[in-house]
Amino acid sequence: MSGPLSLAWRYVWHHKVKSLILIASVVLTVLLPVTIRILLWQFNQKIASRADATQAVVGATGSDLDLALNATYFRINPDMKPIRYDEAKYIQETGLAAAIPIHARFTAKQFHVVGTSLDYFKFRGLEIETGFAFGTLGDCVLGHDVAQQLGIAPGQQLESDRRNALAFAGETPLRMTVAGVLKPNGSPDDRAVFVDVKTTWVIEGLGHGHEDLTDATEDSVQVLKKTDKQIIASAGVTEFIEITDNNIGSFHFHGNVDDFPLTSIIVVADSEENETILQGRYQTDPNRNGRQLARPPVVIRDLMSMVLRVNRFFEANSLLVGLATAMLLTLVVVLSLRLRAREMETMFRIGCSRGTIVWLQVWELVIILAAATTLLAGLVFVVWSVSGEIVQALLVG
Amino acid sequence: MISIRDLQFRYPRTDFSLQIPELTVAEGEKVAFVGPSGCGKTTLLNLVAGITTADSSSVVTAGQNVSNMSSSQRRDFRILNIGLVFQQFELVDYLDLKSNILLPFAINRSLQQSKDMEARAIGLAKEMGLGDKLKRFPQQLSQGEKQRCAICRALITEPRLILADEPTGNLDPKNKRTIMELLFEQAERFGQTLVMVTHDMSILGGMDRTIDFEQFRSETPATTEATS
Repeated sequence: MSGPLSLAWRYVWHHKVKSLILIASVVLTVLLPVTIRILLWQFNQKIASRADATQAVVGATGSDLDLALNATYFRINPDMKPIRYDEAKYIQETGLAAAIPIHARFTAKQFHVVGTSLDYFKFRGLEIETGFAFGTLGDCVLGHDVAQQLGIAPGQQLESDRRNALAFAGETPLRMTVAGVLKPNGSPDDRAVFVDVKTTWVIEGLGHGHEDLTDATEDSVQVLKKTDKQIIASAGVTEFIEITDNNIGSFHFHGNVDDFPLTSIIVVADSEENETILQGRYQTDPNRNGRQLARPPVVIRDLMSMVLRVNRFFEANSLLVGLATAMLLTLVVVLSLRLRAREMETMFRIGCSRGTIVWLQVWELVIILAAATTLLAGLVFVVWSVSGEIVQALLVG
Repeated sequence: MISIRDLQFRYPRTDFSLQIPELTVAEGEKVAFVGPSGCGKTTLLNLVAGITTADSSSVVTAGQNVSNMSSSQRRDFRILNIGLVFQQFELVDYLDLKSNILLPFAINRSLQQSKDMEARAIGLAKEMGLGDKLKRFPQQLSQGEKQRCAICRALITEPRLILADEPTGNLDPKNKRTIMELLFEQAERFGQTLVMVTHDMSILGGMDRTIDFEQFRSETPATTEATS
């Protein structure tokens, strides 16, 4: 190592705390905007690719963004109104597109429970890694990450979360049987639990199973009143919280299934023309009032352009912060030079050139900046490596 | 070793001036510069070392007229021929004792550091009673140890001339004696010329000659201004 470089290194090493503060200042000033930029890029990539793979969705009127996020990331805004199941039937009957129902309102161990049909797997290109697709009421198929994080496999059980800890009536946690686990595909599907849409209606309390009261007498504790036409059950009736081969026959829905709720419907049109025709109907047909057809790619593009506009302000702010940091660093260097004036003068008097003294300062700065750059590169690599997962987790929620 | 003729010097924008018609110091001689503060003792050391120059004067040190040298020539001349000892020691706080002794090799390319030099630095430190403190930093040394380290730094290049500016000014009597004995011993052993600025009359006994600077002080400003 040359003289000035060696001296510079010794100075930086000896004054570790000061050097570390300088390095940290540089790293933080640059890392923050870079991290935001990486996360935004990942956000844009992930959300745009998912949206591009979901050309159209139908849901209740209101925020088209909420609707798009529900169909693509299973996110639910509590204010989002449901649509009726017969809306899916209507879309099918138009012959313009296929309809895949989505009822994503519940969770199991904090993972979204997505009520849908088997067409969803085909539409997203999802493949079963182990086990089978859901076949009967109460079966579920786990996304790859869900199975890994919860450590459960086909044959084991998973209970849905109660949406409200105080909601003891109606909505009952359902113990679902894991039928299969999906192969990983790097999408929100990895972090979801898929069930038949009817299973979500059971979770919602629209369908249930309980012990058979046909043969119960009026004086039994399970029966409040019994007539030829009607049995009024008491709270003593045992409701099933798990659907098994033995009790599946007792499960039934109250009301007309066509009226049951969906949060959204994925529309799979054969052509853009058919999709446009269908969109026209949703815009003009009075029978379709209260419902809308949204195009996730357009919705997400609008969202991103807004996010990027906000980001421009943030970047301008980062620039100012960077400038302020540069000024502070300059101040630190200048003050340090003043403090070290005697040291420099001694070196000069002994026989050191002014140029060498300048080089000594330059090397100190180079070492600080090199250390900061190396640390920054490492941290950016880490941010880059985990950014995809962070964004995925943020989007899936 | 030192030959000065018709030196007229003053610092710009000050009343200070120094006029020395003639002054010589012989090779191997030990000379003390004495006189009140501000009479030009340190200024003359700077002129002799080529740290400061006076254009129209003749300052010949170690056979070379430093007034005629370029600044880089003066730097190289200084580091090769002169060892400097300061009152405030002026050690570099982020270098350990051994590295402080070897500092001249780190700051000037005309000196090539070798294993021999490292061995010499360790040897010098041992002679000065610092053999077990080579890894210590200046802030971990006593005042006397700091000055002994500074003397090692001045001697490491084996200079022909040692210029010491009040080397005992910050030391207690015991350390003062030790430092002077070490300086005299080293200078005599290697035949080095020792020029020392001092206010301390108690250390003049070991010197060959004492020059009182009161005689060089002038009330009228000299014509030559300082450059460095």
